[in-house]
Amino acid sequence: MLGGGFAEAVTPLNLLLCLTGVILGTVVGVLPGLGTAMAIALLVPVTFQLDPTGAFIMFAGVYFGGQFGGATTAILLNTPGQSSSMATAFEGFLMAKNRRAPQALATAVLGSFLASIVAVTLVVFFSPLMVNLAVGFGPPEYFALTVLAFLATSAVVTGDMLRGLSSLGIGLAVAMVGIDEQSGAVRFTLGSTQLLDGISVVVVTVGLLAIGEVLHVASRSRRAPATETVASGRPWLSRRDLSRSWRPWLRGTALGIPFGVIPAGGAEIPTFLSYGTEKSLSRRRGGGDEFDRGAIEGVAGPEAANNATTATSLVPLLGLGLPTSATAAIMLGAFQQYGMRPGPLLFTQESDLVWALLASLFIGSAMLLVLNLPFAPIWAKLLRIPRNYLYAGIVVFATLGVYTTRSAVFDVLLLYVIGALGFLLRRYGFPIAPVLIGVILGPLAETSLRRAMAMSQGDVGVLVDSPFAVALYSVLVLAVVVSLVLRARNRRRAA
Amino acid sequence: MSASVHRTTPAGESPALGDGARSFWTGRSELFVGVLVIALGGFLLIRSAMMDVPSSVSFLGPRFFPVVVGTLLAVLGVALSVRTLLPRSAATADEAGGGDGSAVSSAESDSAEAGARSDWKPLLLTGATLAAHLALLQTAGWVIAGALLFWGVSCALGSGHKLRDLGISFVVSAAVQLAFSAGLGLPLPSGVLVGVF
Repeated sequence: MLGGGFAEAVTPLNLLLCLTGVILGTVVGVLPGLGTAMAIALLVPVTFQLDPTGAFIMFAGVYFGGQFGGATTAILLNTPGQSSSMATAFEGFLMAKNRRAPQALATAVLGSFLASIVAVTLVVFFSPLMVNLAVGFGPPEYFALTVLAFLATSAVVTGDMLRGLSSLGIGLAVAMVGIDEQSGAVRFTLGSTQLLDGISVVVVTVGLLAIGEVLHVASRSRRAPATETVASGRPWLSRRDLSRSWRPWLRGTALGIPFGVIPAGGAEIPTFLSYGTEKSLSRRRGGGDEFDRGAIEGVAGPEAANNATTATSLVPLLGLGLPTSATAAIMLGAFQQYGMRPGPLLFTQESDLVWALLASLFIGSAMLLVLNLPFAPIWAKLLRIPRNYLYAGIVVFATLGVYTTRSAVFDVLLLYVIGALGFLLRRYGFPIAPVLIGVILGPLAETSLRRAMAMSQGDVGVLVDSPFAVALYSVLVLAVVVSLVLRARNRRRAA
Repeated sequence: MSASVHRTTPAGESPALGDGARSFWTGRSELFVGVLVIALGGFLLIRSAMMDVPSSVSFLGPRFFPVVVGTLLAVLGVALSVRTLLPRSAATADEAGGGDGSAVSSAESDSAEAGARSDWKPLLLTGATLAAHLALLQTAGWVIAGALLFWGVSCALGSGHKLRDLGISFVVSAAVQLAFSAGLGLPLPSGVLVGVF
């Protein structure tokens, strides 16, 4: 089946789309503050002109490109393009200062490539297993899954439960606007006919991420220009660098893989875990002074972890329709825009698309290797574009994308209003991911709950009737308790 | 992250307030978000109560979920507001980790700066530009409204050459019109320049 996927993905058009995606993703990933989530959000409206397969192949390229773009600037400029590259910046920038930028970039690219290949192979094997598991799911299990996603992203991984839960509630509220699918009741439209169809996921994501970000940038006094380090020399690893890198690559990959499958908000946690692991291992080996002076292990590990997490987050996304990070949430939104619902049915109804997507993940990582190893310093030059043009361009592109999907000025108004909301949330440290998860999974949660209750004639017991649902709720309770304990302990230590 | 803000920005958000108000309201502008969350919860609850529900509904009608979410939001909003209003020492201890883990990939690269005191002028300029674009999009057409959008945002973010940027803006918006209308076949409002495009 993967062979069929390759056959579909290597058509000239699809290869071109994948390449475009990788380039666009790298460009956006390089720019600070603009993550892969936003790159995909901005591309969703434009890709409606493509067939779904082409669009998702392009997203796959963006996904990987964005990850690597972030690493490039983290190493060369000490400005991580996104939070998952923060750990890379610690040692990477120090290496760059020591004139070892090419080696830092090379270990990052090779580590990313290795981790992606390993992780995507696992995705190929485990997605069908996930699907077999999910075939038996009814409304109670889906409800349990959504509850898990809601609480994991809003309460467990965020620093502040009150803010996280408020973000989630806002997302759920936005999702309820429009005609109720099951009863036909009109909800929260305030008499506006334009709101009968609800608020489009595209409008919400582009508004929160793109417009919100631009308003946020506008609200801050200008930042000092980034310091640039010179990346001279050929990006090849010496035998010694290679022998220092391959173990961190493997360890980082192993750390990153499980984090893609659980809703822990993306690759931030595993990258820091990998950084910590490499640092303590280096100390134990007696090479402790290497770290904090630019150790290649500190770049190799986190970058591998980052890409492994990115790739394995596709398992729950494709198999269950469960997004585990903001970027995955937007991918799910994109599927919904095409009238497809990820989950067991996707593999039977749209199997061509799924396998072409998986095949293009392999192709995308290979393209990254070719594009980024020699050209990384060129990408970093993008930061020389004046910031005001950059953000003006983003506003224009966001507006255009949203306007052209339905040719409605009303959608542009909504976009700006939601952008203002996104600004407020960012301004006061409210996480954005729970809002997106709420908007995208809210309808599924509500439908599943109501179907389950209708099936059981109002008996609440149906929700905990299946072993899988019970297991999910137990995991959830455990995660909440552990995070509360950890938080209390941190507070005591801080006090 | 706003915990550090409370401590490091004694200047406050609104210089318009008198000295008496300043001492209490400084760093408490988050109260606005709390009130907004309460309002949203209240809105859900009130509109749910007023909703026309088709008679065919069996268990858990279209009102159930909104009422749950509305109640949740109202409670959270009250909790947020109360926490903002609490004496600072208590509030900051709780907030010390706030926001750091908010793992949306686009956001946190500069969490140390986030939440710092807002620059109102560029923010208001950007907002005004967006409003003007909305008003002009249908009437004046994309080329003019889009150029204004680009130019306004660019100026708001501190452009060095306002006149040159105006030129760039028109080039950008005209190029976009050409690419979308001619290239992708997506219609953009042509407005007053209907004869040209």
